[in-house]
Amino acid sequence: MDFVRNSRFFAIPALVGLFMLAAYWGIVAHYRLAISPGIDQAQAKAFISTVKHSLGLAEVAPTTIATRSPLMGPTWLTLYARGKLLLRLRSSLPTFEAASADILSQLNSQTMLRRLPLALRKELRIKLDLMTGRGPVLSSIPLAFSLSLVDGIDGLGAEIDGREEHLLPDDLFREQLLGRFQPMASIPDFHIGVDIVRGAELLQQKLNAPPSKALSYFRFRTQSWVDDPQSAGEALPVVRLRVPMKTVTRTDVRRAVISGADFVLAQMRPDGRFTYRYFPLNDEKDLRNYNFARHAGTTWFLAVTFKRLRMERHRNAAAKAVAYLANETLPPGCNLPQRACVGGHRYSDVGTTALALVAIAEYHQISRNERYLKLARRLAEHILWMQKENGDFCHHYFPDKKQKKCDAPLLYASGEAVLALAKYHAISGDKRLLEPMEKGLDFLTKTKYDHLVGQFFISEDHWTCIAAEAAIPAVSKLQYAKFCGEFVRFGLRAQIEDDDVQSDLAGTFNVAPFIAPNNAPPGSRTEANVATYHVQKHHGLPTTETEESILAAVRYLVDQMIRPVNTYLFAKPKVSVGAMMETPVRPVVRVDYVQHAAAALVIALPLIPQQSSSTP
Amino acid sequence: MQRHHRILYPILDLCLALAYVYIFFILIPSRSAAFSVAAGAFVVLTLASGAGIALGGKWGRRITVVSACGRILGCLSFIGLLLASAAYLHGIYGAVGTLGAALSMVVAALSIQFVGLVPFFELLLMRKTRA
Repeated sequence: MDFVRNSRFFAIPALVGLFMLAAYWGIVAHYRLAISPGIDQAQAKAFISTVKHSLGLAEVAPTTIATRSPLMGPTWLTLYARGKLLLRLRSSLPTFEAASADILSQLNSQTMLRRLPLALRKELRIKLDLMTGRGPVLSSIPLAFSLSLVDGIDGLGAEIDGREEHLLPDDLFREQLLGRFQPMASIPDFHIGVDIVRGAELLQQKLNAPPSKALSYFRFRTQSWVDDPQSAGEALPVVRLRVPMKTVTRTDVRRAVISGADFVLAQMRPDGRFTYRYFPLNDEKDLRNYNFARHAGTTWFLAVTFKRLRMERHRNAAAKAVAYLANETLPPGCNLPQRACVGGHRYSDVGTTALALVAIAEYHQISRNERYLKLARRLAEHILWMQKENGDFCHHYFPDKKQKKCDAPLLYASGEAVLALAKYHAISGDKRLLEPMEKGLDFLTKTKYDHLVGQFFISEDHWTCIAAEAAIPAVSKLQYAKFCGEFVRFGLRAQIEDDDVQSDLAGTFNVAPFIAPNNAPPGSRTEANVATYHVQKHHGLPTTETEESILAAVRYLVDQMIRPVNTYLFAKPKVSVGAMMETPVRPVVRVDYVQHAAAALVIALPLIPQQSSSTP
Repeated sequence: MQRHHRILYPILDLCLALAYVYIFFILIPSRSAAFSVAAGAFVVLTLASGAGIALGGKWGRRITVVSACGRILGCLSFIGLLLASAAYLHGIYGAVGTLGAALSMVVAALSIQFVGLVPFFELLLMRKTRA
């Protein structure tokens, strides 16, 4: 009896568990989109050719669109002129054949297009979008609503009284709604999901609906195609706002490096600084809160690029940027005869000083210009002075008080400091640096992790591994190679795979599909992984995992770097080529996003197969 | 019911009630009045469970059984909401990702330990003492 009673008692949790499982899969099925196949490339090409013909941009008579592909919703044709939406036409007819004919007929009745100057007409970009899936969203809970769209892939629609309006993924991007919802008023910098407040306002306006009337929202998936500005009549598939590159060759990587470096170069100002933030949607530039560490990092990247590609313009730009570092970034309290540091009048962190030294050392190697050697020595002296007994560094220095502060460590500073010492050792041969370098690397690869949590996780230690490579052969231990191997493996756990639900983002590092991945980590981690590869090779360790991680990230970086074909939403298409946005869906370009990405690519170049393409 | 049960469980419930008050009203107070009311009710149920055990007897037992069942239901509802959120994200994105899965599991495991375990043992104790 007891057994039966006890069985009943424990059966309740089991039944509850089963109910929850069933409810879980029920919810999944309700919100999952059923996607229709859409059209194929030939159909898209025929359509875009016809549009070009109608615009007077192609003389060849287009092929007919004969297939009757059934559609799940509207078809849109959009014409963009220098990033601005010039014209959008929509058809809701049920087959692609009928919808495209309808749109072309609407297009032919647009007399204003014929009045456009030919030069502008030639610049027009043609975009075709088809709705291939549609599903419900939970709009009553703001956070759930904001997470209801896959960033850059889904559009948002609303319905009222039988009328519908849509915000295509392009519209959400142009309005900067992606990744911009602010769920907690107390943390204004934290954003996640789509800014549904603004999105709802826009749909309300489009529908001309009174604010008192509740709209019924839905999400939809599109299949998108864009014309190729370099090939007449071609239609290229668009995924998450860009034409994806599924594979890359060494030539592609080299091209990406040059365009990244040239973008940086074009953003250089007469005083030697770079535009700190660039907004490609409206060609705005911002120098506020200029960051010397990122300036130094970018200078280093230009020098490394010259070293690999030998293009004089990159060396000239590096020279100008180094001059700015030497002349403008040393406050009086930092500019002492025995040592020097980089920063403001009241504060300097050791990481910034270290990166300045890295840039100067690299520039010295490519130029053999001894002008900055004395400054390099004083910067190195400051870093040595900031080192603690255990090998770590004090990270903060107050030039006005001439005081250092050793608590509240910064994330990257110690790794940057060791890298700087290694780089300075390479140009000076100063043997006094060997022990501090070794102590620093010992701390970063062992002492720092001598606690329980350290057995499970690795911090953002990419500078450590770059430093470990730079220190070879002067300082080299198997321990460093093993640590960096662990760093690579730790990163692999978060690296998106090709068969993942975010396969277009394969190669980058992210832990949840509802967070748009930041584009700095794939660059900085790949810089570290390439360094790790060399450290592992030096010690005869296997490099397979490291190479896999590098190749996957390289594909991602090349794909993310803005190419001419992907500039249809940008105000100055030529200027934005080579830029790297903050995330795949956030049109803000900070100089270090480009620097980390392109630096990773340039140092990875020899590892990329020459002929055959690399696959993630 | 043994004497140490009459001391241990009320103390545990009192500590848990204080922790709930701290978490839901001081550390992360909700903007939603409904959530605050639910959290307040949960605190009352927790205190009632402890009081019932301390009181003993027929009414004490009834109070404990009802409040412990309420707390377990609350715990299950919370896990249900968590699962519904994960299912929603799974439906939208095709998967919840490593972070989503890890966070869901950690929060579910913590809520079982922190909210559901004590009332579960209290119910077992009530069963035992009835027998």
